[in-house]
Amino acid sequence: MAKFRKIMRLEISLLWRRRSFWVIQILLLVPAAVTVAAWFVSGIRPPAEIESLAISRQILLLVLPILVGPAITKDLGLVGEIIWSTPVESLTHLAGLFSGLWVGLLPAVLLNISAWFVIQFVAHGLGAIHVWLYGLPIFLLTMTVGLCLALFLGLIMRNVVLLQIVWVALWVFWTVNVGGLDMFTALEKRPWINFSFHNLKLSPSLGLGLSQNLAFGLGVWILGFGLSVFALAMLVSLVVDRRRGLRGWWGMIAPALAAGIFLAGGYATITQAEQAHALVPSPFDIQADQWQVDELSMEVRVDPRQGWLQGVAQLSISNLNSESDDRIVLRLNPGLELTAAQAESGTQLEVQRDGDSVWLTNPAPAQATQRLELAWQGRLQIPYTVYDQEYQYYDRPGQYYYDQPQPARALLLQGAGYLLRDGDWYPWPWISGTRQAQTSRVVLRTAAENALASVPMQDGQAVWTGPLPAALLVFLPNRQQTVEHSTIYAPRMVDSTVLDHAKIFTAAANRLFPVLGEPIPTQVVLLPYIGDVIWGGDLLILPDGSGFFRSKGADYFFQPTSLAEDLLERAALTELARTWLRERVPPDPDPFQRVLPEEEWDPSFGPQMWENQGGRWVPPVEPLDLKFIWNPRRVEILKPSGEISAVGYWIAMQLAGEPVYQDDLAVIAKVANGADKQFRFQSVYERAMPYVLESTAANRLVLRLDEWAGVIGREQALQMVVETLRQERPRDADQLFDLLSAHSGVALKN
Amino acid sequence: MIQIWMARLPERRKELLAASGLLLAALWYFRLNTGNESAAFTLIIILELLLPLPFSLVVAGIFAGDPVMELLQASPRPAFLALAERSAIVLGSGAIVGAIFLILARAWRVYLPMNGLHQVLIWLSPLILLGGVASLGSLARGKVVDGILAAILLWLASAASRQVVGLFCQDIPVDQACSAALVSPALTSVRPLDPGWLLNRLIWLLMGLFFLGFSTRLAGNEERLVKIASAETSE
Repeated sequence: MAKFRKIMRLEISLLWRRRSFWVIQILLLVPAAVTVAAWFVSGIRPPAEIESLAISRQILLLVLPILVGPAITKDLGLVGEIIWSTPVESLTHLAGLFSGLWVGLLPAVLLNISAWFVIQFVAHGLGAIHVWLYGLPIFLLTMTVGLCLALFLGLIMRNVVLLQIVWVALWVFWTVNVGGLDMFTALEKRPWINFSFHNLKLSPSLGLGLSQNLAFGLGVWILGFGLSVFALAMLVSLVVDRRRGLRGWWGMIAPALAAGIFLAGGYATITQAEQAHALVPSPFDIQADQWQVDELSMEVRVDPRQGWLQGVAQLSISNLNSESDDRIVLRLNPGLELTAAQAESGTQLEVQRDGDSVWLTNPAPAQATQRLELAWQGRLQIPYTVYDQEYQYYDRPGQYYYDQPQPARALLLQGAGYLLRDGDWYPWPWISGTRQAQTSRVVLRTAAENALASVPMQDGQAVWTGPLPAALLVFLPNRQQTVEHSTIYAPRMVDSTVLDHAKIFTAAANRLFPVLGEPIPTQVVLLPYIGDVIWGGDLLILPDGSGFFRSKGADYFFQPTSLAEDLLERAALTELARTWLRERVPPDPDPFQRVLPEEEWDPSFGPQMWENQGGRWVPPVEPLDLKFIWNPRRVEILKPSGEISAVGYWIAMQLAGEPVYQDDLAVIAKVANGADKQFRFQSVYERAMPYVLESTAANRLVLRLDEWAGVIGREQALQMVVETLRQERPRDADQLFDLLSAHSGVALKN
Repeated sequence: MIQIWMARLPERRKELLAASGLLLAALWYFRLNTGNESAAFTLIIILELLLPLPFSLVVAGIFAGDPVMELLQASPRPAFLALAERSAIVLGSGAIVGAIFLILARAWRVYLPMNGLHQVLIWLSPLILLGGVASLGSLARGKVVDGILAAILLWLASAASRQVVGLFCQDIPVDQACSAALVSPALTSVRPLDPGWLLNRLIWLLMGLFFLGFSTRLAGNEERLVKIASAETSE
């Protein structure tokens, strides 16, 4: 032990005495310094994320041989022979060397984390604690595995130059394979080699959240990998340095055994986590929009702490197809088991699980209407990639890949979560619109104290009758504050940018909803893994900033921005108006209509693509602002419609201040008259306008509406548009314009 | 031929082999991606960013562990000549690898956005620059790790400069000159069509040659050389 301590102390002092060690400390602080400089120059706060540390980790890994190479190779030369004329045994020597270097490198880690903590704390407040909570263990793990690998390679290579060249090769291989600095590749894509936990996205509400088990497993796996390389280094040291020996074989076996245990534990945890969050395919025939739900009566018991739910429902469904089908396909989360299914007659129905759906035998194929009694229970299976996607309310065509999971509309995790109307936490036929029965009664029960429903709760029970709001039940985060007539519930660790912007949203909701003839949402809740704003009557749900993508309309609000507050307010009004409109617009009567002739299909969306991908995933079904189609094998064609965005934006313009209104109008007029692409892109981005306004068609729509409003008066026009949307629920802009022309007596043509 | 070539490089043969091996792996990776739309971009990244680094690391340690160093010092053959000769061998090897890439890319129908000699400048300019900095770094204090560190620092700065160019030049069309583009030794991977591209290449090439020239001057200091040769790893 005394020898071990001496070697360790010697290595620390040698390391700290080297000038290059301190030069590298400064180098590792460069990313932090650049961030601060950019902050001062642009005025935009750095984003709240521990991912910033990834750059420092990658630099540290790249230069590691320069730091530790001399220490590893020095004993192998002439000097070593003199020093170790009475050689210590291999385990003591390598353990001492490793520990000395590990402790010696600590200043680099602590200095770096401290710098990032200060930056994040000044920029975002309390959430900066994540830098220590998660950043420190990750940094130490990365350093440990890097050091073990350097030890092993250093003993083989025997000189720093060769070690550094081989190291560069490994580093480049690793960087390319974990996605480099690509910010849009989630952690789970390459868990086995992601030694620096690249792209670990934390949730302000749940910390590691969905990635918890994966990150833990990865940590154990990395430790195991490091230990196994250390054991190999010991073996190599016996060969390359024959002066050394082992006191006993346990010295070799103990690290190898520990490595094996850690590797097995890590492997099991990662595999289990991947299975628990696997993305499962859909059946080949999902019977899309074949069934209409006439009646729903449902009771569900929820335990958010255990992540458990149990429900029973009576469902009356009608077949909209002229042809009968001997099976009924219902979408139900793969983590839930349909424990009972029977027909009205009492006949037990055969149930078969097929990916993200269940098949039931049709009790009476000849009848158009079926009445089903169903029971189910289990824990929700949410794919990791659920927060790695761009979803429905993206207001212009995007790439909707076939292995893209459905957006999270239900989550029960660590006592937090939500149950939204359009989630797969209860069985429902596949539809392209919202989950709305003609008559419905839904009862949700929970013992959780932090539960809040969009209707008043009594004794842990909430009851809805009639049309269901988009948000049903949420489990509240722990911090609250009041803005005007609303209370904002936010997680304690939420980024201050997100919280500031949530206040803007809340203030906008207080202004907008009375104009729309709706009650002001009194509860505004920030929740994890939601990409969009969700309006559910008294409840307004905003994303808490978890994950990579938000809807483009809301994106401005989840990252630091230099946008003026009045523009942000108009953007918030637009997003809220669109959210309201989505609830008002009836489902497309013919969502499977082919909107483009076959020869105009983008080949990337063609049959080859879904053949390559197995053709068994259903793209997200809810892009309401885009018309889309599936053929029986679900070839999807997207056509930009943008009408909801354009009308929502026009409503927001009317409520914005006069300067914003006039400036917006000037941009719209210029775009409608054929401005170049760069102007369109830039003006839309810089003024936080909906992306769909880059297209001249959407601009003309806004312009026509505004010209018409100019004739009848803007205030009256706003009132008339809102009333028409509320009372007559036009299907598209053409129908809206016809109705407005009729009501006002002033011609309005799209 | 190879024997004569290698005889001029008594030490660092393994390192040169490792550097070439790394590029061979990159060539294999490139071959796998020749069918992709981004094949030309991959090639540029390999030539401009990957190729220069390992060869410049070899240059950093060109005198390290040299058993004939004392003989060299004692012989009438000046050390600067040995440095120049060995640098030429190492950087020449890099140049040959680069040329092989260009020939094979042509055979595999991957076309770069520039022709002829200009294609050579994609990698020659950063290769000479990094090699010069590595050589100067290791000879300045007689420490190999200094040279390695200097080369890696410059390489990281080159990679980071791509972001800077992207940021400052984002509003300028790709075929119009952007003055910020001059700062990046890795300009080809960001703005290959920039009218200032050739000037950029020549500036960095001349700077590299200057560093190499200056390091041969430093090679006249025997104390430095002995330090490098006797203890490459110590500081």
